[in-house]
Amino acid sequence: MRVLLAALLLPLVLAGCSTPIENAGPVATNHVNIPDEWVFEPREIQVKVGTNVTWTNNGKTFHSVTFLDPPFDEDIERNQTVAYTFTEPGTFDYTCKYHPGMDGRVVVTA
Amino acid sequence: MTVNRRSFLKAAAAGGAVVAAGAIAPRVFGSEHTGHNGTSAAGGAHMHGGHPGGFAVERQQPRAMTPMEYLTHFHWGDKVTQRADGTALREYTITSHPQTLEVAKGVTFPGWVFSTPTIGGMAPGPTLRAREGDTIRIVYRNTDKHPHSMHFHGIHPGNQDGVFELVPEGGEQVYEFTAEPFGVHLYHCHTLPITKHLSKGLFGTLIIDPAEPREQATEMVMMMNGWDVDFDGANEFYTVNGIANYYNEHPIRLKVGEKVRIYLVNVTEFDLINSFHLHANFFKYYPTGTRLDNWEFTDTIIQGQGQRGILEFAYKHPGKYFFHAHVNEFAELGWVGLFEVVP
Amino acid sequence: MPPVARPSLATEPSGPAASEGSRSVFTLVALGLLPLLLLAAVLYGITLVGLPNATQVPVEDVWVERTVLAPGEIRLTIRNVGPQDVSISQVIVNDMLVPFAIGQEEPLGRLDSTTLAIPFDWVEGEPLAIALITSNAIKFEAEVAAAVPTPEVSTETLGLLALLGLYVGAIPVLLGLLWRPLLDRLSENKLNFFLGITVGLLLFLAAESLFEGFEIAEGIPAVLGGPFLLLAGAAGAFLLLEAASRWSHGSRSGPTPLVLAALVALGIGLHNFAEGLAIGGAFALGEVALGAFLVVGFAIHNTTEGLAIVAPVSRTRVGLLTLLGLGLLAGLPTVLGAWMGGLAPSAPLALIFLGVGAGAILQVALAIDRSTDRALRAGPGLVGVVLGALIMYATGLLVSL
Repeated sequence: MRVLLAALLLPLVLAGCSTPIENAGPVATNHVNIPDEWVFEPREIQVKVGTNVTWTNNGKTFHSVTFLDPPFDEDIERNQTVAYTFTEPGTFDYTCKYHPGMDGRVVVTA
Repeated sequence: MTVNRRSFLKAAAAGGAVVAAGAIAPRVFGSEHTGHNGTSAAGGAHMHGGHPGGFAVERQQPRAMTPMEYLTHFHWGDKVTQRADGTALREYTITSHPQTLEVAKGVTFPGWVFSTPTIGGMAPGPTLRAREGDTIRIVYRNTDKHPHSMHFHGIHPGNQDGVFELVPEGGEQVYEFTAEPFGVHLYHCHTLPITKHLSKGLFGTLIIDPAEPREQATEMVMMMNGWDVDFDGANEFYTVNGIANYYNEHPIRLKVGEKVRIYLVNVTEFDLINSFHLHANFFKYYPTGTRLDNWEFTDTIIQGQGQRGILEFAYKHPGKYFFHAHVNEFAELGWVGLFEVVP
Repeated sequence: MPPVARPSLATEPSGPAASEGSRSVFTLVALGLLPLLLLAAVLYGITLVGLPNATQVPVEDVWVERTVLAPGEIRLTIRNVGPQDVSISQVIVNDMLVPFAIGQEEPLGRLDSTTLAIPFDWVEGEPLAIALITSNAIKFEAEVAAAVPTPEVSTETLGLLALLGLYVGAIPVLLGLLWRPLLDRLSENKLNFFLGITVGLLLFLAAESLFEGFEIAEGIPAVLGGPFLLLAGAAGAFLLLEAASRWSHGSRSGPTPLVLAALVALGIGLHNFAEGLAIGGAFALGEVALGAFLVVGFAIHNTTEGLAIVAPVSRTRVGLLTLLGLGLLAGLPTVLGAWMGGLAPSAPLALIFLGVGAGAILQVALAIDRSTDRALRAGPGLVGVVLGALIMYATGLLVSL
């Protein structure tokens, strides 16, 4: 009986522990990919100060990686990669200036 | 087989607790807003974009100008090469892309715009300018899901007309032609339906100076348009330079006696004509600006869609003066501005 | 298989029986909460995993609940009946952008309402087309067919509306009571005929209430649950009155004639309240041509209601004051309805009253049918039923508002 109970409850436990796709916290990586859709994947990343973050455009069209702070605004052509090294801790939002709603965030920890 | 009630409850409680514990982690939840009030135009560069289940990021459009900056901005080229005969090869890099536009205070609209690397993200698009005889070379790229093109009003070969070649997402097209005739012209997207593509913001002014430049004056560009925000084939707002009532709330300052030249273009969809009326003063009106010796002296003119002209005037007396469409319905829906003339 | 010994889960220290423990408060509460807790956990899990990110098309809905016109000013009461917060950014009146003052700067939350004050020099008798534009450039429209100043609360307005209510509702009903002497002198057969008329009349009134209610319900946002209010009111009133009626007559076979008449009066009173709402509302919009024609039509329409009240108590001793009371119970609500409809209209409230009225009327029609012991199912009784409905229909044509 307990086995049956455990089996019933297991999916719930797993659901709670699984890493969700959309709304998880920042992903610890220094690479952002742009697919065919107008999104940055992953949307939120977390890196340490001094990390070189790269963006690669694997999509159908050109995009941009536009930060207001730090002042970094680069167009990124198809199959191109751009990079930036973050020297200060903080949370930095960026967008693609060509596509409203296509935005991302870099969380830089000390 | 019976279930021991107590053990069942214990197991369930434990399971629930595990689920809750496994789920508690610092997570960011955004608001449910998918649209915010646009900031007033004076701020210019920032607009909010919401994202469900995430954070809201300031829409970063570092190239955006306010209508006041747009008024007196002329783009002579991203790369200019002077030639021996005095003319120039002017290269412009133009990109078309979607952009959230503020069409009236607090009202945002999903628009399509033309941008250059340094200016853009707004409708009207950048005012391109060249001298008669220059070679204009447009490197045009489209990054919108819908195909677009650039059609120029001027004299040029058929395959530089931007009509039969539509540029898909990620595509590029080069237009090259000689800048002629001198005057004030316009450019816009020619993808069908043109009513849709033009009315969503894909338009701009092209000015070709005569070989002998015109007399020195304070020069301004004004494009008259309408915004059909609910897509029913009728305009809800009418503007000059993109935002309803903008110059009414931010008057344009002039001095008594200051010579003013306005390059005025009508790109209003869905209405047969638009008009321009100046208060307490008369102007010389040069239709299409293609003749230097032919003008009408009046205070009110009409323009059909695609028509344009040059207005020249100077104010004699100080004061506040309206300028607006004399189609008063348009004036009441946002196409009205103020000149503030100081001594 | 031998039963597993169940340890007692009782929280009370006393109580020897082990089987009592299975119904202890703790167990019951725990069993009740368990599915809810698990549901909460599942929902939390869903919010974590996230729903597929479809393209964001703003979904907004704004309802202009009330338009009040004062000289030089338009005041709108608006309610957010959509799923998202909404901000009104621009207002257009008759194709002109107008400045406006809004009750709150923050976006309007779900089901919240606020007031918009628009200075505007409207012209009396001419239409107004108002458009509200949200920050997402979505347009919501409201119309005033012919602009008139909205009556505000004053002795004059209250008096005028009361007069309307009296002319249209109270007086005709009281006049209808005067059929009592006639009814007292009738044989059983002929009486059944008049009772039939009563029932037919009541059935028509109930149907009329429901149809009018559905029409109103269609005109208000779905989120307010208009049809539900109507039907819930009707069902609730019906069941409540059934229960009350049974309770009142206890072991006897049915309600006394006086109780029956009182129920008729109550049902008609509720219906007349809703009628008063409609009349007051039309008055506030300037739509009522207070012509004699209208008053005459309503009078005839409502006089037959007086007949419906006295029919059940024919040949029963009833005091004059009691009769008067019944008549007022049926007729005065028209005045109350006119007051509310003219000064503080509320569609949801109107729907509740219409529903309750319909339910009450249906219940009393049923009660009368029972009291006549099937006499209304055939012969003069049945003829009366049909005739009663027809009379109401015909007189109703005279007063289409």
